[in-house]
Amino acid sequence: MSGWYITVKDLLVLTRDKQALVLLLVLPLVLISVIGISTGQFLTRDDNVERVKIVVVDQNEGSVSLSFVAGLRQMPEFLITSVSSMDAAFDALRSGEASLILLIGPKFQELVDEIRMRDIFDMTDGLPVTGLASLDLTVKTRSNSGAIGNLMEAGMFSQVIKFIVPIAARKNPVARNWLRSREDADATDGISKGLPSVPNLRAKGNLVSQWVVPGFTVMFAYFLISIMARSFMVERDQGTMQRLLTAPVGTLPLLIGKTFPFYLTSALQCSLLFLCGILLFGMPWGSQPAYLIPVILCTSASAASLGLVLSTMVHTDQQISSYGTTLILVLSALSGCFLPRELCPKMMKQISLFTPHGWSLKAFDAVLNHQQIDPKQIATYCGMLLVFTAVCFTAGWWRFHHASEN
Amino acid sequence: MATGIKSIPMQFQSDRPSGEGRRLSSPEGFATRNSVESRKTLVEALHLRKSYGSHLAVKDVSFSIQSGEVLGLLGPNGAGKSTTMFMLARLVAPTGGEVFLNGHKYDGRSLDQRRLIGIVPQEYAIYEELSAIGNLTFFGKLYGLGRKTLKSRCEEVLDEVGLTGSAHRLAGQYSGGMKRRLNFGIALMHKPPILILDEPTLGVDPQSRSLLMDCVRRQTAEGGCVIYASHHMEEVQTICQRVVILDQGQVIANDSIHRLLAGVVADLFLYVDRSAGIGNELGDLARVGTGSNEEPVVIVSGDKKLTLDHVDNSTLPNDLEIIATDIAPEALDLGWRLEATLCKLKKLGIQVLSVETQQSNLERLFLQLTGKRLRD
Repeated sequence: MSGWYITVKDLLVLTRDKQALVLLLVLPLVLISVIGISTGQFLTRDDNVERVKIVVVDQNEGSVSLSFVAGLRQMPEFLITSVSSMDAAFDALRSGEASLILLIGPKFQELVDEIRMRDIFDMTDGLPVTGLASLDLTVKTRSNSGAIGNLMEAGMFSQVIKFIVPIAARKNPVARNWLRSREDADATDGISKGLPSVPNLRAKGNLVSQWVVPGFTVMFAYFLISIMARSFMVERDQGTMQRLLTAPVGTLPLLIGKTFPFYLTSALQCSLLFLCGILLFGMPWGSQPAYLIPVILCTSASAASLGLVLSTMVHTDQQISSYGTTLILVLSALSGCFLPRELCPKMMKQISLFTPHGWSLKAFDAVLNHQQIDPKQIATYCGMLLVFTAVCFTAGWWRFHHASEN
Repeated sequence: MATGIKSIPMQFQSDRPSGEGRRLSSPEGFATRNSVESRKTLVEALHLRKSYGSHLAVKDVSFSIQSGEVLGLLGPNGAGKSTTMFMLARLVAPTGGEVFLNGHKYDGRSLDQRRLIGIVPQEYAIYEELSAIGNLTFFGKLYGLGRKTLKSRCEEVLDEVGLTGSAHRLAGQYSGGMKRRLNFGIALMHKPPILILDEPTLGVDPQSRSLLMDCVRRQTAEGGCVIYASHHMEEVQTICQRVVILDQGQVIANDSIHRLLAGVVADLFLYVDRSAGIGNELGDLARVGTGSNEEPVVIVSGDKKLTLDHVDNSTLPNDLEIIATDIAPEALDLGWRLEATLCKLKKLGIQVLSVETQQSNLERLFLQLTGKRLRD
């Protein structure tokens, strides 16, 4: 019961500490909104941010090139803008309005006409062996785009191949007959209809649900460790800890009482952030959102117990700021809160499993982004979080007991 | 949950090793209304030691406190007062030695024994985000006070510490004095028989100080005891019956204030008319003033202090106007000494302009025992 009195008292104190409330509840919402705006998924709902912006300079202007560009325009993954000169195209690239320039050279149609089925079948010896240049096509990306630039160029090449295959096929009797047998054998229609669409990220779960909301929710959940450590420090500095330690309250109820308010606050914070993601970003919450509850509760438990360990280690504001911030940032970075886990190297993914953050992120990913949720998998992730909680709480209890005895 | 305040049992079986308490107690040490026999030892510290690494903060501290007694715990900074108090309240585990509360060994584990102690830390140990009533209620609940008891006890304590009118204001909006009173009130909530006060009147105005002193007196009148650590010597002299003076982690004095002060020298200042000329007569005066040829008279002129034995009368400054004598009270009564000195001066034809006496006090005793060397 004593622990509960301490919890109620700390919740009261916390609700009257506007600075802590702002840090715990308002700041995460602001930050997540800013990230939402910067990725074009909040307020503006700008779907174009997810499309590859391409500036086309068509020096051929033949029926084939027009058809090719028209086909590209119909693809949801691309945002096509046509300009008349290379200067204008480079301006667009430099200003960031375009990610890629596609220059269709004057010989494009002529070279496309020369394409035969054998060129398609023998990519190592046929006409397109030199890639886009073999069709008088040039792709320019920003000099600093690196691997992404290469990826965009390869993507464009695959689109070109998809475009020329039906054209080449029409020149082959067997293939032509087969094409005729289809209702939509028309080459022009085939350009668009024949082009398989890249899987739509939004349909599966967008950037917000895959990374922004879970990543920052987990990071902010652990932000409370600093607030918690400060609460312990204030109790020590103002002498109220002496009162608590001389009161007829055992160490365990005392620590549970001190930890529980932050656990509740963390759970509230996580829930608010997810609510914000759902309401403001239209984030899908998975096929069985009820599984979010245990994940949120276990994440908050591990955060609060980590906070307890930190609380017993630091004694000054400077220590809280330095140790707390370092711990938060390092663990967040290790676990993949700052960028989608898919982009993390394998070794980092393995390292992340030594952090509670890593298990939280895996659990959120399993709930939000998987159509079929495996309860055993969620139970494993939550179990790991509870193991972290138990280890950290025991360490915190031991340190607190040891410190108060000396 | 308990529904009332637990009172200390009047009869108890002592865990204390027999004989040790008797050796430490100082029955003559407290001049009070009650007889020594009616009192019981509420706190007993036996050979307390505390070391932090190689630094021995408290070397060997032993003392006891009886019910109805206020014990002043004095010492220069770093003497080990706070560590000793923390060991009594078991906020710090002693490296050696034992603490007995109400005759039972106390190691901080027994939650019931913790109810015996009320602590007033040097800091404002209050939650500034809560009101006075919020603070009192919270700590009252921790001590297991039931709802009815809690309400009535809150009212009593608020009245005792003069905060009834501001009970619902946030403590953060209080003045320093009000915070001190609330700090005190929290310790009183569960009616502990043992109060440990660490500088409870630090930075408060005379009104608040007077109120807090009354609270201390009430505590002892009700049979409790108080350990009072302070650097306010005047305050300690007023409120405490006995003092323990610590220096460098050791007890250097443990007795009643009355007895300790009996051994302290007092000053007698005589302002005389120098115009009549006092020349060699000063030598005779010295012997009269001190009652002993071995103790010198000190002549004070402005900031200069000259020992008569080493002064050539011809070099005495013309503006000499004060003759100060150190008088050992235990050698001779101060009143008699003054009378004798005045008679002698009259015989010498020296006119006395005024007389000042400086009684022995705790501060003088403290400096005499601990020295004037600055402490870190």
